[in-house]
Amino acid sequence: MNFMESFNTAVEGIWANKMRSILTMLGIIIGITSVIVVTALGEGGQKAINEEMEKFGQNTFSVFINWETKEEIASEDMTVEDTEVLGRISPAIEYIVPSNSSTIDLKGPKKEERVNLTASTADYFSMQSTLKVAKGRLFNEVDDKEQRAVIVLEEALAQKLFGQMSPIGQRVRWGNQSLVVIGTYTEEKFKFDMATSYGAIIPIRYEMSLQEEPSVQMIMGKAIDKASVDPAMQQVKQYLSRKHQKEDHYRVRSMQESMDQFNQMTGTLTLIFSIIAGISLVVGGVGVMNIMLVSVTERTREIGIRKALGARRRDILIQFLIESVIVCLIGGLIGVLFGLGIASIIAYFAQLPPLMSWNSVFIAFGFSSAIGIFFGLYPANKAAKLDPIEALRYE
Amino acid sequence: MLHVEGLTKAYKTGDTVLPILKGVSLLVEQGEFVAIMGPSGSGKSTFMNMLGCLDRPDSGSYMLDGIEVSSLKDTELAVVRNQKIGFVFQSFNLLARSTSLHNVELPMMYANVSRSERRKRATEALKRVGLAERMDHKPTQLSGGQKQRVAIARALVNKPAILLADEPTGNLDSRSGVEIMAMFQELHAQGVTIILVTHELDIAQHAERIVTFKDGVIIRDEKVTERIFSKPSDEVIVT
Repeated sequence: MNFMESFNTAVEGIWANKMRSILTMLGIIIGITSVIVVTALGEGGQKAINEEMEKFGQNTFSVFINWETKEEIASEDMTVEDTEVLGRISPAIEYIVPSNSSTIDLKGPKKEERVNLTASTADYFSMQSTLKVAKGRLFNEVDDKEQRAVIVLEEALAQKLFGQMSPIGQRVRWGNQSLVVIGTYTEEKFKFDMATSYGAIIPIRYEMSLQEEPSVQMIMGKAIDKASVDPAMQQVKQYLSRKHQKEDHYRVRSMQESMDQFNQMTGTLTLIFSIIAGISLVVGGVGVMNIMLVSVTERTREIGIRKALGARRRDILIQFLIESVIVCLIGGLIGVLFGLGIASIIAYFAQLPPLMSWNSVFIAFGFSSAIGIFFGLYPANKAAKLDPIEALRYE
Repeated sequence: MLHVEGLTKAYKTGDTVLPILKGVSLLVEQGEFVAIMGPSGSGKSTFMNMLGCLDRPDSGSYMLDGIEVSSLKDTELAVVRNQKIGFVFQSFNLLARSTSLHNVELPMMYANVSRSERRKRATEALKRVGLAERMDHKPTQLSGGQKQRVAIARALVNKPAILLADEPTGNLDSRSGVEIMAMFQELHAQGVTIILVTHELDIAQHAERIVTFKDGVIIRDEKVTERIFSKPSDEVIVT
């Protein structure tokens, strides 16, 4: 018997027990649905986050003090001057700025707000390509050098602190310091940033003048292109080590490395969840095997008749195997549709971009046929091995 | 056509070996109509299974249409069943979900006959048994006699060397039984080789030769000289 005929015979077998076939499929449907939801969300979410990271941090890197170093850590291990020198001498670097950030309370005439305060040099604004001036101006090199007590507020923060009033030229209080607002800005936020506080930026030299032991927490850099990221990082590390006479003191990390690490982490997470979801798929497969065994017993006589009429073992085996594979594949197809549907709904509410993971669809189909074959093989083989005489005598 | 020599078969139940066939030899010529009789336990069913290639003998030879089948493998036996043997069973053994036409097509599916050829030959076979009007009926919509006629059409459709009928009238009322036997005689007249297993003497009388089994051996093998009814039309039908 050729494949098409075996296929038709199998379809007839499934059709003859519609309700049972549907219930059997349900196990596969649930299994595939959960696998698809997990992988689609995992993969899609990862992709969306990567795109965001790419947009905000292309070719960027950052420099920290290595806290695990055995050398003595001093407050002047990284200085603003270091960044200025590096920016001048390294052709691979487009921008390089120091950055100190802290959470503070800023008091305006209307309200007091919790603010993410960033202290940096004027180049910081050039580096943040999504940052745009809304009102007034941003601070410049002179403001920084002169350690002027000026501040640039996020536009939405300015509205909170000043209401309808124009904030430009007004003062805000930070502890016992009084700062002049010279401008406001808008910034495209990182979509997956969970921080809800507003931002404000001040000149770093002013900020450091307030510290008892002035220090730079972090240096942020941007290479001129992708190929220059590694040389730039190397030059920075080399320069700092030589300048401060410290061997194992600095850690340099590119956005790409952070992204790779993030991807590895989310990849592992997705895999773990997929495996958990996959367990339900295995349960579904056991359901298929169970029903196929019932079906073989029920159709013992049919098998006997077919054998008496010339069906070889192979014919019977293929007939039952196709039956279980069809059940699993239809279940898989419905599961993929359900899974993508549910994943889209979740993605919509989680404000992820619409996602479609072809990978998971192929995997799902591969898996459901594999399950059909794996769990169908035992019952089908049992059917194929039946003795025709006994099968014909079966009541 | 069919030559069996020294056929033996024993079944093991636990430690005891139960011999069923103790050296059976039989020669059936092309076109013969042979009835096999015997009480239950005489070994006639086992012998029938051997002839039908559903089972293999422990020893002895079985030549069917020029092929020594006693040593064939399972797959080869399936092909022999498909090509050389037509079965008619007591309980019809039709596929319940399938139409008459599909049931008759089934042996040809395993013989890889093309779809159109299958349809053509199945239709012809059903016409031959007088069921042209019932081709799209399922077994549940047919009477016992009609079911057995579908089974006969199915048995003949691959043009087998022998037609094996195991108590073909056992599940039929007497009127349908007579009809079926008439059909066997007609097929016999057309030259089909028929072997019929029955325990009813009046059914066996339709054959031209009766072979009687007892305790695993053939105790009698004789030509039917005098028929209780030579033609089915002579039968007085009691309704």
